[in-house]
Amino acid sequence: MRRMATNNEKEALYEKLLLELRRGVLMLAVLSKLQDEQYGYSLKQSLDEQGMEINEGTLYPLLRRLESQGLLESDWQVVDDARPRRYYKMSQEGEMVFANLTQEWQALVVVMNQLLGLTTK
Amino acid sequence: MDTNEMIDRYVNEVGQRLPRKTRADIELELRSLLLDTIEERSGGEPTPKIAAEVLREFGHPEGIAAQYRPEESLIGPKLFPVYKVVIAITLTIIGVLHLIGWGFVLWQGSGAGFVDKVLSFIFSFGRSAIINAGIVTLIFAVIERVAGDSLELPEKQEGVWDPFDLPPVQDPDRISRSELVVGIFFTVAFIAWLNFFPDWFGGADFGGEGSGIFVLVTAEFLALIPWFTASLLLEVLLKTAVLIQGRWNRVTRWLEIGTSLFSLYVTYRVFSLEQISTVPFFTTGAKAVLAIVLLIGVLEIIGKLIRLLLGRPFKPHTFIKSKLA
Repeated sequence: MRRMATNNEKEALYEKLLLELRRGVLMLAVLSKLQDEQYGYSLKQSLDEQGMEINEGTLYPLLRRLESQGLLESDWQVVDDARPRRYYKMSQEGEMVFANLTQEWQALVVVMNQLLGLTTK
Repeated sequence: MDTNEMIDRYVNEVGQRLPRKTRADIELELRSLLLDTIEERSGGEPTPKIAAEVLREFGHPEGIAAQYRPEESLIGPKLFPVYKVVIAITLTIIGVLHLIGWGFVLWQGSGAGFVDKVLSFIFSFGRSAIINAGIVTLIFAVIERVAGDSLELPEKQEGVWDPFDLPPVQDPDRISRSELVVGIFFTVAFIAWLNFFPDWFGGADFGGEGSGIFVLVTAEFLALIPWFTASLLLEVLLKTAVLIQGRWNRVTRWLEIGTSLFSLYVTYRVFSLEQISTVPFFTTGAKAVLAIVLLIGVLEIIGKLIRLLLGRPFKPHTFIKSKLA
């Protein structure tokens, strides 16, 4: 017989499921903010301000992954005599993927709202 | 420790855990991100306390390095199924070679006792298995590193997979009537031979003064014929019952273990005879074969028992994993 999960295990499972749920959404959120170039910290601020809180340890590695997938491009710049910062921006390919994913997202929201009973058919 | 030193140490700790190729770049970027965050948080006047607070938010160096590292595995999901098959084949070959070698050792009849020989067989097999599994793993790890990215998963190869080619589901309890009937027929024939023509265990001697037919097995061996008969009769009865029922069930599976144990006991009695054949060379050979039969028999019974107790086919790796969980 399956043993009862402890509270800690239940919490860990919930955290894991939440992480999985957010993973794809975070990517879309990040892309949405990188139509104009931004450096890491300003991007985090901008996401935070709009209610999409994301841990630094997740956001910055995500930027590099998206860049390695060709969806972002980056370069080091010195703006207003500040220290050098890496600026990220969506690449051409990234813009195409973002447009398609936005459409998918809209369709998904409609379906999910219906499934979850959050809207009437 | 001042703010800069704290950042230096943190960045260094993260960098130590990253691949050499990307280390410098990530270190540079991480430093810049940390400085931005600390500067913003402190309003332009950073203190070690604020720096420590920010670093805690970023997380343990191992955690952040893990996020930056590309997903790595010794043998990836594309190669793993092939790896498992190769390991199984390798271990089977090693097992068979060891059984043959062990039979040869018994045939030679060295001084060590039976238990010592079994233990030496297990250790020798274990050592060879570990070494060879290690070599196979190493080869696969090299293939993964060199060509891992260019490999394709089977489902991605168009046209290779066809639902009509799916193999039938294996039902371990389903019987093959023809196999059972043939099995019963030959067992009955063997019982008849044992009981009615025991002197057929003979050989022809065409040379020398006493030429003619002589009995090849000893009187001790012939005395065990009732035991053989009982063991074989049990087997026939069980197979007949299964044949009538149409499939194996839990009761008949337990009975099968019982008959196997009895058969193993009879085999062991033959093995313990001082002389099986009137020809000493044949006794040594027969003992070597019987030793292997005993070992395989024991392993088979253990496998069947575990399958019955767990209620499903016994897979050692799944069993060990479930026990460790």
